[in-house]
Amino acid sequence: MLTAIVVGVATLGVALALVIKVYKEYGTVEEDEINQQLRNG
Amino acid sequence: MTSHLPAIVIIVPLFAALAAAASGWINRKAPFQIALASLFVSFVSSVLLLLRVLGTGVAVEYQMAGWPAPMGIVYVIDHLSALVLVVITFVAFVNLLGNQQAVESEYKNKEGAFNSLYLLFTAGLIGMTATGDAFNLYVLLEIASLSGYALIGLGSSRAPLATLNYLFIGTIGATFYLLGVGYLYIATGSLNMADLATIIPTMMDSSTILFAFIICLTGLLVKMAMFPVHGWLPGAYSESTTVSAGLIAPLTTKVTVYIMIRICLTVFTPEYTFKHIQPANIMVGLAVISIIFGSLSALAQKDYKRMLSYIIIAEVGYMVGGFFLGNRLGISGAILHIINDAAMTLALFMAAGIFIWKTGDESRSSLKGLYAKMPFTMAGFTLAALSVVGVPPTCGFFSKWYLISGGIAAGQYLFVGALIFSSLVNAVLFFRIFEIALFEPFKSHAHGGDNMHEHGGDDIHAHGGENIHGHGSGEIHAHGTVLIKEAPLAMLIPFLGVCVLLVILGLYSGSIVTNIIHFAIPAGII
Repeated sequence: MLTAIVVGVATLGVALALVIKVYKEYGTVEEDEINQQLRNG
Repeated sequence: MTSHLPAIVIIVPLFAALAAAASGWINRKAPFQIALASLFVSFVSSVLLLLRVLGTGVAVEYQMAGWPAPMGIVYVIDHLSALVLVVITFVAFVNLLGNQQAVESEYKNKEGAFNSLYLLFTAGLIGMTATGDAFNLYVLLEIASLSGYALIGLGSSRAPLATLNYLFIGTIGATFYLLGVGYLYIATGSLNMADLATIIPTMMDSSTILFAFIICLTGLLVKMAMFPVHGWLPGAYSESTTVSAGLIAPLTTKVTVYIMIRICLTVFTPEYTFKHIQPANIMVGLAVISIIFGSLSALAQKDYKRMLSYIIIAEVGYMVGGFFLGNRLGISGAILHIINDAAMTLALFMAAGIFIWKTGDESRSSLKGLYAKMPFTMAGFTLAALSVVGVPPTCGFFSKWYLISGGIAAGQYLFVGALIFSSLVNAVLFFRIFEIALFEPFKSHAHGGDNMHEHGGDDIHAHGGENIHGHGSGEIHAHGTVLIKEAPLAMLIPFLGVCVLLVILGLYSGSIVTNIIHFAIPAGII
């Protein structure tokens, strides 16, 4: 059970860091807006 | 010392990861050297383990911290594990060795982070292969996956999005596997693989065990990118840097195939997997769809690395289909293909690294005229491409031979047809590249200094009938009109070594199968 907590925290940490990078790149975290930008850009 | 080899193989990269991260603040060059040294130690240990297993003929068992099974975690190295361990450590070591300049230029201020992630990923894979405990396997699977996500996320500007996609899908896959292990624990009370193998035959009709099998297998299929849960692979592998791709692409899916073989053969015994459930038609059918889908999608790609990603999806179809044929030929073909595909993918991604280093561009059209410009690189690339198509004496031919023989013996003619179809499609894919690289004239690059990573002298590219004498030393004057400006030796020699290895693996396929793989498959399978 401790393993599950640790793995969950680590996954959450990596995922949040990646979301921050996505936000810096596209200016939004809404998926349809990002898809719009990808289609145009 | 040698009695602790199973522990050394995994502990050295694990502690070296810590050392690499710490030393990154003190010294710029130290993390890379620490990583290289520890991977070399792991490689030597895995070779010694393989020799020991071959010599004694029995598996090497190592109890972590002396706690006996089934309470403690036991590392079991048998023929199959030892073989895959050698593959993992070899790929990790050679990939890092061959990409030193790329690492230095791409990860300018992040050497500590990159090298420690690299080592953590390798340690996770090594542990997955060596462990004899089903839950320990999940822990190491997550270690490898998270390091993989971080490595891929450090890539191009599109990388974080592709990595998030991979993270969501991959975490669900790993959770399915965990759920399966949980059901096994509820039903049997044990997590040790050998122990489970003795308990499961007594409860063959239990629906809990059946559900555990199905959900474990589904989780593993997600992690190895079988159709239809392959969606994460093309984005993740094409957006990462070539160094990371050269580590992750040859290994992740193949080690997951190894885990599937381990779970189906060692934990759920062959009688359960093949006779009680009879998954052959469903799984081979899924494999056929995967092969055809992967091959056709690869035809549509313009980007070289995306094309390779779809080829990987097709190759996973070979291995899964070959395994679920259920006969000795098919399973030997699947295991041989683990080794061969790891080597071929490593060679192809190292070639991508060299192309991108020289031309700075990832699309296929940037490969124009490269046979004249970089003959040695293209010679190695030709060998790797012929291996994927399946031309003797390269290794790709021999694993396809075993898979096709197994398919005919099992009566799965659709699988045989898909294999042949995929070989033809691979021929089209690679001969297109041969044509562009051989017959199109080399295009001059008007880019500024940032795309050319050449240190020391510019390139002057000749078009048509001029002969221009280049500046600087180290340029060989070609007979024709284009100067040979090869990749740096530090990148070229490991790459050519891997390509020659493809031929050596092919020539020694027979002895690999009779001496190692034959003993990896349980005796009951004909």
